[in-house]
Amino acid sequence: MVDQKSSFRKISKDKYVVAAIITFLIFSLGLTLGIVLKDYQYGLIEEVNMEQDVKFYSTQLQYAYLNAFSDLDNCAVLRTTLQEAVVELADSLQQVIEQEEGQPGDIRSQVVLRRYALDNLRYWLLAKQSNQRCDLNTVLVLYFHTPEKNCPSCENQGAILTHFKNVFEERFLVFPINLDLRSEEPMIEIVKSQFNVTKVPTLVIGDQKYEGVISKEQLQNIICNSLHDAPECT
Amino acid sequence: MNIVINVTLWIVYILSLYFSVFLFLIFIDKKNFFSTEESSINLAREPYVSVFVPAYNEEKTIVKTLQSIDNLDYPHEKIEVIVIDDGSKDRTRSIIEEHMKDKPNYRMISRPNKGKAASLNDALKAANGEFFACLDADSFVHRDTLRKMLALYEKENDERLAIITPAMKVHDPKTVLEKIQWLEYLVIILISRISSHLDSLYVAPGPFSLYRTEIIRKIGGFDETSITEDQEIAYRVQKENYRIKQCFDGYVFTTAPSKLKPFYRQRRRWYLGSIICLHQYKEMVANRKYGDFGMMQMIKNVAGYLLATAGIFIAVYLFIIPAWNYLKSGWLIRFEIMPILKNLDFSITMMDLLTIDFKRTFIIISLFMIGFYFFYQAHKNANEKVMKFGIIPLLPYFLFYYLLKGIILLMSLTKFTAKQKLRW
Repeated sequence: MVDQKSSFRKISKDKYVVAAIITFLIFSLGLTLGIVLKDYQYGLIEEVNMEQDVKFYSTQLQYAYLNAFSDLDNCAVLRTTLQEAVVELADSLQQVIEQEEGQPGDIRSQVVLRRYALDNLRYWLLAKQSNQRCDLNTVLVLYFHTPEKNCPSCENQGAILTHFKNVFEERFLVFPINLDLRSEEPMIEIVKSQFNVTKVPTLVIGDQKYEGVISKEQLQNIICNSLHDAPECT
Repeated sequence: MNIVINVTLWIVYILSLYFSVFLFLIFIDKKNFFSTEESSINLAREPYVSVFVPAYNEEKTIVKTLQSIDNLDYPHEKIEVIVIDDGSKDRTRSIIEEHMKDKPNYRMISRPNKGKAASLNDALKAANGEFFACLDADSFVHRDTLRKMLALYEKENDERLAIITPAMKVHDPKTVLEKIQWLEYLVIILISRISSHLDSLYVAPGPFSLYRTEIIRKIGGFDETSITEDQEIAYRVQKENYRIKQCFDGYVFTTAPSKLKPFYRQRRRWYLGSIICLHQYKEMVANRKYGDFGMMQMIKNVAGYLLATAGIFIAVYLFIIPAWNYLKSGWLIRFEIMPILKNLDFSITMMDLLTIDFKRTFIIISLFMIGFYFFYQAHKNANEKVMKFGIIPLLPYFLFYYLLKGIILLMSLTKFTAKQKLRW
């Protein structure tokens, strides 16, 4: 009797199965596409890095040349090459780096992050050395931070730094160092202990260390004290 | 992002995709049938039908509602109209009395206010029809609808068929909100048609659902304690293993709320009612005994709340948090935006494009494609043009409407759990 009562009840079994298969297909298609495009992205990063290597060699050589022949004055060329290289490094990779920092990935992602930190460090070092030989009229900022989830206020500092990058353009060079990488990358640990960085965000401008978020007004003062002939400061 | 949120989001994506694909498959499978199906208006036998019109303060629309009944293509001596004046405080009663003059097939029950379900039960006791329909006083029935529904009863020839539901359209939409609901109702007609095919309808809309009197009396009439008696009766009918079918082109036109506040009140009642019904009939969830209704519809209804909740979190994550961050950054630089404008760069490099999360995007695009497909088919199904009201209602429909519904749903859910003191 019960069976007869509910005889119209049926389960569209085949449709459930097919729907599951299609869902799975769409899902794996998206996953595959994601993996393929990620590979492609790493290929592009590789290209950027190769280009960066050449640029760095060029800058480094210019500096060495300058040191070798004391009567030479190619400071202007060195300044432009250096500034352009650093700005381009940030322009081409910053977004990717932010993405990688946001979602920790595999070994490749670690390598990309380390490489970016090292690139920034070596440019910072070269710029610092060059500054002693030539007057670059450029503010160099070593920016110690960690990804957003460990350091909510880093985002605020980032917004302020971006603002000054927009204002002073290539005369304000920021070299971001992600401190979370220090367990993998000894160089980061070295810089960290040299400046005795205990909290994030920390900025090192010239030889001066600034802990915590530096406001727009404070940073404006610091920059304008180091730059000369800056129309933005008046 | 937090791993728990991430996992939840992926479950939501996959669940939504699964249900959409399932409905899509059913639709594709029956596409030929759906596009050639025609409602007949020829009847071998013209049974006696009662029409209940519960009215509470409806002086503005009641005459038009009654006229739409008078205009039904059906012999007047075979229709009895029972108007229930549910203690109206305006002129409703005198208007009804005026309209009833020299119409022998009209009856009026007038009594103090007891609510709609009680009105329907009173009418049910007095009714002589083999079938009965309810028509809310804010709705108007198309002249062919009764005939089409009776023809469907005849065609199905199934004693267990208890309710035939109409295809509801919004009556004369004027404001954008009404036009958005007009679009929504069209999609509901199509989705209900697919559900009807799976014997999985779970609402018998107030305006002109046609019931088999004997069965409704047997299962005890309408539940006077329910705030959505039209859902409760449908769940009960399903539970007792009676059937509900949709008459896909039996049109009824209903007045949709034209402003946000009444819209909110209506939806809150609906959603709270449906949560209570789901809770009341939770034994049918994932119950194989109830076939596709238990295995698909009930699970989908429960999952709907999860999806709505997650949808709101996604919206917060995608729009509100970034917006807040922008505002915060803006404040930090004292809203000095000229340097940003100076350095604006609209060129999009390959590298930028690649930072998009493709796994997520791919699934969301698939979902939207199925959604658009149903949206288009829903218009075809209801013989309407997509651009009937231009592009203006389309944008908010796709961009905000589901978010708004989700928020109301969530508020109803909160209210429900507060009442239940978390005794789920």
